[in-house]
Amino acid sequence: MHFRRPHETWNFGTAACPGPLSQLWRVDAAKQKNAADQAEGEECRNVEAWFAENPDIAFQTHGSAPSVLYEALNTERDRRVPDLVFRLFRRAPNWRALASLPAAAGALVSGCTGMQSALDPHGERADALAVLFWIFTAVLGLVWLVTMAGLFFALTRRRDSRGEPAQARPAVKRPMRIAFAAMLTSTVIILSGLAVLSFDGQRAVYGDGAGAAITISVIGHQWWWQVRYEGNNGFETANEIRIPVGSAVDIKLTTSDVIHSFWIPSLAGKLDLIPGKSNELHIQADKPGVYRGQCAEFCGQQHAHMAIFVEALEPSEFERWRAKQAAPARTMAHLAKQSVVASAASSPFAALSERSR
Amino acid sequence: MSQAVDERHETRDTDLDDEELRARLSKTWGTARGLIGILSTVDHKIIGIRYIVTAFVFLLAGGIMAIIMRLQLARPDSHFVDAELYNQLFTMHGTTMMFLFGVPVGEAFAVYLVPLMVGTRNIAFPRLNAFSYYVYLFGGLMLWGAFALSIRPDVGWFSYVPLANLNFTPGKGPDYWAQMITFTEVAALAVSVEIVVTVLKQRAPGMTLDRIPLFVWTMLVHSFIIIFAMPAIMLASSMLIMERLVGTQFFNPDAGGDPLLWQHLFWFFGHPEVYIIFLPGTAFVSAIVATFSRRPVFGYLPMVLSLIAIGFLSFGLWVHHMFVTGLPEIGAAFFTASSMAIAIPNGVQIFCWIATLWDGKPVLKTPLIFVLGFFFIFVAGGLSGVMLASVPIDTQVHDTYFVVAHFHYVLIGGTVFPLVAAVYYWFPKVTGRLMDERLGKWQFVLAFSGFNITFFPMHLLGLRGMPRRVYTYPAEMGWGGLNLLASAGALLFFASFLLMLYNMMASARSGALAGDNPWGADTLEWAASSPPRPQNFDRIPCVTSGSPLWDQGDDRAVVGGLKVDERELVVTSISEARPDIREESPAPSIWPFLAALVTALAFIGSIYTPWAITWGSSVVAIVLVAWFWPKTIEENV
Amino acid sequence: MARSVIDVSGLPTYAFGSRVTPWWGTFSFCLLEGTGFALGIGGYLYLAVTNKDWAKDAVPLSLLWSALFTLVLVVSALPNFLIKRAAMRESLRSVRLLLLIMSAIGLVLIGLRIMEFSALPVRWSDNAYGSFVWLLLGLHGVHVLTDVADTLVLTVLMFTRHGTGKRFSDAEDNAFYWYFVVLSWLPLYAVLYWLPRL
Ligand code: HEM
Ligand SMILES: [Cu+2]
Ligand SMILES: [Cu+2]
Repeated sequence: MHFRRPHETWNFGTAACPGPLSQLWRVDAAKQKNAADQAEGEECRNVEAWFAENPDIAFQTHGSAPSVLYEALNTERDRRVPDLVFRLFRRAPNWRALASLPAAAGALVSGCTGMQSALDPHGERADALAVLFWIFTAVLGLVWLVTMAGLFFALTRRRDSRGEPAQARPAVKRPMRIAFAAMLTSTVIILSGLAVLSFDGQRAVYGDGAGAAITISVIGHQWWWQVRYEGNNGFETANEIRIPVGSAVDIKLTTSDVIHSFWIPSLAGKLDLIPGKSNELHIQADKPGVYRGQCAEFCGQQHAHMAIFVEALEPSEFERWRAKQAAPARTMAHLAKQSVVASAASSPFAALSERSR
Repeated sequence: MSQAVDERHETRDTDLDDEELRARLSKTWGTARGLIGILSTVDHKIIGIRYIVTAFVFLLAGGIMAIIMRLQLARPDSHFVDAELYNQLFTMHGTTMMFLFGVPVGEAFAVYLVPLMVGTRNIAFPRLNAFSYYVYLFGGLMLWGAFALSIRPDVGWFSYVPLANLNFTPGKGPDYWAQMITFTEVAALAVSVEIVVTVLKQRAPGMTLDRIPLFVWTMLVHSFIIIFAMPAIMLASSMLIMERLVGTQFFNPDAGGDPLLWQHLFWFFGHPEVYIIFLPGTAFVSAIVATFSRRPVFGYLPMVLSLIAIGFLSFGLWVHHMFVTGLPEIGAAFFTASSMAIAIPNGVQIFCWIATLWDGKPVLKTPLIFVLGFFFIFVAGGLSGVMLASVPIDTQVHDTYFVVAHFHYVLIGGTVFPLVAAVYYWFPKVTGRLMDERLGKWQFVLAFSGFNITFFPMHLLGLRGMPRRVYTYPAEMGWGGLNLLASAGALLFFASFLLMLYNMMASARSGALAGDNPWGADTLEWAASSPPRPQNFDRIPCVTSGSPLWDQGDDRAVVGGLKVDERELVVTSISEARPDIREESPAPSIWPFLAALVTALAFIGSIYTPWAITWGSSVVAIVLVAWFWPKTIEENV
Repeated sequence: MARSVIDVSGLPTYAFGSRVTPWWGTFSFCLLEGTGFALGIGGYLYLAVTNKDWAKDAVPLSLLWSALFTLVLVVSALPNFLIKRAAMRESLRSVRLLLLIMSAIGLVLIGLRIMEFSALPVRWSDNAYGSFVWLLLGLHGVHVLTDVADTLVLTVLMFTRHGTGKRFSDAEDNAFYWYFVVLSWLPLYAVLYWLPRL
């Protein structure tokens, strides 16, 4: 059942990164990929290769092969400590990873930091957040520098009379009073400024979803995401959302069990799924691509494996896909009959690494 | 015979010369030998040291958990530990660090130091103090004993419902967690009450409100925060265990409850908790900065006002832990503003300390060096806190490694660095010997570099999408390099504590002799001998300034007229500190120990049957009556 | 050289009210327990506001026993006041008599609280409303219980050779705490018994 096999035209590398940065992405991925992958790894989002290689595991649905995944889960539990040290260093530490640290700093600035990075925004809301983040970082970084400079000068300042004994009550000097007042005012001004920016950003983030083209319900389960496209021709998927580029999408978040948190960093900030409550998140992708997300609220044993992919497609392509999904064979009623089983390892990554072992 | 007894009762300190007075008081206030004596002691210094040592043991235990976590995360797709164990590890790490190390260690120093600093002979309610220590010890043993027996909580240090409910987490792990919390917070509350009363009523004559050392002011505010914050967590943890054991419905949305109620109650405690852990750090900093700048801290009044402001504001921030639960927008915005506002008093404090260093003559001994580390790290952590206070930014970094980095910057920078400084600073008071300076500086190099190498990369990891509380991550995410770096740093950081341990043990045996006041400090604890005698001071000092040891020469004014063969201390008026009563301080007693033991058993029993509460409390009641039953007819004078 | 400047040999060894440390201890405990009550009420109100079905769940509680309880509790403030006064005058006879009265009142109150529980129309496990009713009533019950136990012990002490000196200060302290038990009940009573009827 590969109805969601990756399409040839998916564009994983929306923003091509210059040389050294790409290594960042590659160093770890390379270990599990063949040389050919490495050769073409000039893109930040080079997940294409392993999707192509493993089409079956890349997009498990809850109907396909849950038992296999369950087994993977259970063997997971049974691994015990004895061979742990060995396992840890099974692969020699990757020194290239360390060597690429300067590149990491560079990557941060360029924003090319992977498919699940808050600093690599591909949607309006995430954009606004990244900008806000950088403003805060710059201002507060400056405050930190000024404080440290003050500390440094306090320590290295030349004293007029060395060896002066302890003073119980030195006179408070006028310059110090002025400095105090200046510090207090500037703190207040800076904080007020940041607060205003924050309120502004808040409006941008939570702006209402009026005019949303599509409404999708995402229901959290331990440890997978049930995705339901609402409307007449509704249908369901798991751990994967496809959206058309450029349209506002309204996501309704509820949970069937414990609290989870829905988070696609490249598109928007996170929002919790809380029992007895329905939250709403609005996302919109500016460019085609695959955006990974991961449950961000601890939800039990396999929380680490609760990933979700959002794929933004060109509108025409999305419509084609949607039409196919909505075909009678895939109605909700039909799907509802299929047992819904946890597929903790259903992210392509997890499945891949299980397999490589 | 009876005449002789009467006469002995009447001996006053003014009747004796220094030598004899010292011997007689040591006998009166001393602790008996033998097991019963050890368990009965009510000496705040002995209990304070026990508290400190126990807290450090828990720090070590929590640290080992952290190292195991870091080994697991060092490489992607690692199977050093499995998901189940990892979840137990971070739960035990967080819980231990917050409840069994962070809160108690601050109180521990207060128990030891506050009575000395205010110039009294024992803490107020010394038996309650002994009780609180045993309660804390048994609470910690309960959690770790259960851990050893594979009964392990694994739902994080804030145990969100419904995950922590019976249907999602069967077994007894969260029950032990909840009871441990309720139980140890009794200890925290008891100590705060003692500190409040000691500071308000037992200050040496003449120590008016404006002469109270900043350390003591800080611990006073700290105690009040505990008094108002801890009831929330006790209520919450009791509700959680009732939910699990007797089927209440507080948090069940299908029966009119709300899982967010747990979060509100938890964080109403949880945010002040951060300040509960952090304020003792600032107390250490105030003391150390003053001593090593050879100046009292600049701006006494702004400092005290900032402390009080922090105390109040800390209760208005809790919702910033819940920004992504989908709260109404306006409400969230309010908490952004209040969270940013608390940066103002914190900024004032930082300014005043730096101004003190600026004006004074900094002496770069190990304690001050660690305080400098504190500035570097804590200010960074505080500023990343300002980012988290912004709702929009928080929606990206909440529950990621950015937050893990942030709170380790404030917790370790704000508390652990000053704590290490405090250990170096007061070690000579406690043991009579100085710690090795050279090792101290090496320790700083290790700790400072190890800390930053561990936790700085975590900011980047969080921004690059790594959520907290994941036991592993796929190699393809590209988080491997930074994680490896963080893990390497963690080993360095951990090593710095082993070095400190070695330094402490070696110095306790063969360090340079310290004398009473090795640093030339100005507060009263340095007027006592090192280590202090059971009575703390042979004659209670009269205080005439905020820096008593710098202002007075050899001509020290003291109080006269206290009985020598009874445990008498001076109770003074609140603001002026005028002597008012000669109150009898309780003698050693085994009952606090027994009461704590029985209470602990009742709490453990309650995890298995609610009836343990009923039967347990009757036994506890009997023990308490024995505790308070007067043993002599002492007051028939 | 130490120089004795203040002579404290003439000071008393005990006193009353906020001059002594136990009063401040009790006061601090009142503060923290009061915070507990406030948070409990806060939680109750939080659910009352946020939960749509609250009105349906919140069946009014019967007024009989609670009214009696409240009445006796409020009336007990009078003997309590008298104890305080007698203790400060160190009049052993009145203190003994009043402590006996207070002990009796305390036992009656415990009985009334038990009746209150048995008349509750909801169980703690029925819904969140029921859980809160039991929690708040229980929490206050524990306070009544502890202070009554304390009063009983004090009464016994006052009838033995210990009934002298500082013990009067203890009696006064105990009376102080009873005021807290009385005062903390009033908001609870209003919230638990009257709010659902509005
Ligand atoms: C050796 C030093 C330490 C290291 C290497 C370390 C490491 C860590 C790591 C990696 C986590 C995140 C676990 C996860 O989310 O998966 C964590 C969580 C935490 N740490 Fe530390 N830590 C250290 C010391 C401390 C100290 C001194 C404190 C407090 C005073 C502290 C308090 C916490 C808390 C409260 C958590 C959250 C636990 C939870 O998520 O439930 N840590 N620590
Ligand atoms: Cu989840
Ligand atoms: Cu999760």
